Amino acid sequence: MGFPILKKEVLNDRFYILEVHAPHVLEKFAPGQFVMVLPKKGGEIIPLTVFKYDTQKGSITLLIEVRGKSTKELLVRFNEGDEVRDVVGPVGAKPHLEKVGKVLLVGYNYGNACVYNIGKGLKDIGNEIHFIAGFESEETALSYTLFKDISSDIKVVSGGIKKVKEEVRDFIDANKDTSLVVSAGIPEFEKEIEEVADVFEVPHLTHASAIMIDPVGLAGSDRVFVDGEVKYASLDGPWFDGHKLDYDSLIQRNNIFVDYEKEALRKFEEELEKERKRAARKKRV
Amino acid sequence: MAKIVYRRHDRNEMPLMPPEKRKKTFDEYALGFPVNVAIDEAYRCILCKKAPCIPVCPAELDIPRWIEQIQKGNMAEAYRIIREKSPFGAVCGRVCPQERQCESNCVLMFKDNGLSVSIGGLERFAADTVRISGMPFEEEKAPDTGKKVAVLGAGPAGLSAAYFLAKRGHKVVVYEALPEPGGVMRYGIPPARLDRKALDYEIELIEKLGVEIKTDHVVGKTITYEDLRKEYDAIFIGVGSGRGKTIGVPGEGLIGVYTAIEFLTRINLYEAFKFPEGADTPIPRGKRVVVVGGGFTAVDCLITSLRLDNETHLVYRRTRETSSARDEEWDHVAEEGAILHWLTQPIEIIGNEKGEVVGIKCIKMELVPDEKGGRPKPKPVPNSEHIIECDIVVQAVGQGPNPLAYQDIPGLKIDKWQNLSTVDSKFRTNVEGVFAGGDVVNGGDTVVRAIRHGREAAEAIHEYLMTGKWEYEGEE
Repeated sequence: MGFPILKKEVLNDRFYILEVHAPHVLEKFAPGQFVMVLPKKGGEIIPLTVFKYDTQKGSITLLIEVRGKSTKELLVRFNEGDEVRDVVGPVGAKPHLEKVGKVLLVGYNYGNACVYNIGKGLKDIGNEIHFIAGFESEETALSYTLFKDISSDIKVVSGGIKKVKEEVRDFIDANKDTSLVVSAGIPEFEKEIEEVADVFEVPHLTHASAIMIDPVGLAGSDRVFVDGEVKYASLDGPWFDGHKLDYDSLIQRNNIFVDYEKEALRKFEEELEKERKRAARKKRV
Repeated sequence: MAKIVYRRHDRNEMPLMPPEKRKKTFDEYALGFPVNVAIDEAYRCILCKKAPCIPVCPAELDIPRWIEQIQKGNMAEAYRIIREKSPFGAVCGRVCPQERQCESNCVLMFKDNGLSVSIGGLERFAADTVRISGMPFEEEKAPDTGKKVAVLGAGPAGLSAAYFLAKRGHKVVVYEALPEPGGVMRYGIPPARLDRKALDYEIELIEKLGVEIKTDHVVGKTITYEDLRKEYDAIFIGVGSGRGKTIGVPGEGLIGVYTAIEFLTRINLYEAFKFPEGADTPIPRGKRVVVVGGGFTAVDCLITSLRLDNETHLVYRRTRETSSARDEEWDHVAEEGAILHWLTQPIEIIGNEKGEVVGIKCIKMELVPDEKGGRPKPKPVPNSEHIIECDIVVQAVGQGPNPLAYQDIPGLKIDKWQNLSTVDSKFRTNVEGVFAGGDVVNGGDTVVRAIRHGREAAEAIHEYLMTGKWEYEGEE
């Protein structure tokens, strides 16, 4: 039981990478799909995109953003050689990818891993990939080298959603032959990208990160509205037509547990602080 | 020989935790019989030759035969007899609606308004005694047949099928999408009604027979029908009917609206009641909760909500008498402080400017006789609209299908509800080698009926594997 962590790499204060041995995920894996990770018993199940993978080693590489307690705990409590309890997957529909020509990938924070993942699939069928990797701040921005095998045109943009949006507008303005925009991050971000895609009438594929507690739409916590219809992000998604996804309801639903998540993170940080002090005291003695 | 004394009225009642205490814990509130009481209760059974309890047990347990063993103090033997028909005695002893099944037909009730033998309590007792005592419990199985069966879904139907197939000497692999096996027994039924130790033990016994359970495997995604076909000689689909339905009124997208499955899964599977210290999955506490529905799932949601310190209401459009849950269970939740609104139909969920639930608008109903002679029908009472203030609405109004695991099977006949009621009397689908049972066939029924399906399907699968004969009897 359990899935061993083969490699852990801390990229900066916000991001880290875990390579996990989970060969069962890869047998049927298709670009655009993801996994759900339950780090330990009593843990919280986390949907995570498969950033990169190695079929020979049977391993998947996850790019993780520290957002709440669970992602923080994975960072500080799990090391190479440790096991995560569950890796469920692959989850999600296989998106229908076509050769359309010039494709612009736009990610925001963790969303960069998602667009990279599906972008790989788009590249492999012959599309020309351009990549705008957006980050909230300079300190948390990642190097373009992480994504470089997917495109020779990667622009790292830090400084928030609005700034990334401007870059996207400039890109499409200068490249009227852009035939697809792919965006992922948080729905607040994707909504802004949709505004641009809508103005320029470019098809838009976007990533719905909904609250998900099971891989098959059982609980229905991952219901999203697409063109007025109820869809399940774990079954029908996570990739949806960006012109049709109801961003506002997704933003609303994603806020359901915000207060609880903050509380859990605060308590965990207190715990870590206590441990630090205890360790420091021991050292002095 | 002493004359048999019929003890019609002195039934031993199951000891319960007092309401004040039990609503503060997720531990089981029915405490189980102590040994002396269990043996005394067993002696109330007159061991009928043609026992009327057997045919009304959906699993057809040979009830007097194992009760006789309890009388003699042979608990392991009693448990073994139960397991001839069902691998989930500890579960069924707790969660079956016995007063509508075996206990409704007990001979002791036929005269002087007698009270039935506490069959459920005894079944639980036999199973728990074997587990708690730690006595070695080995089960026999037939020599290896060399045949392999894939079971889809580790719920009551799938695990029951796996158990009986393994006993017949077949190699069985069970595929489960969730991180833990058990299906509805894990994510649905609260630990307050079903001690997880009892469930874990019965699953371990199945694994001890060589059944391999692969959790984290989503059939249709991790592994496809084509793969299974190549690797296995037969396939049993027991994936249930798992998708929470919604009530279909305005406001379902608001913050604070849950399906019963989400509400229960957070607590039961991910232990959200321990949040934030012992678990990382959150669930609201100390709020005002309205549960909509009138079945077992609604009761489970009430039990759960009360234990989270919520002010807990139930709204149901029919009456208590016409609901499908047990009388006793309504008493239990009422004792624990649930406020029950009968003949009340929700018509709208009301939210504030932040999109959070602030109340549920309902209308009073009255029951009018059904012209066709069916259940009386609820009809709205004019001008009776009213609002129950609340922060959370839990929709316990039934389940829908989830055909992910079988939608890719070429040529498989699926009914209009996307279920597999198309199976024949031997649980065969129209695709050779593919069987189905449990809720995926009947759309939503009890745990015990799923166990029965699993067992009968296992027999049919065994027959198919050994003879190779396949004659689908359903409509082509």
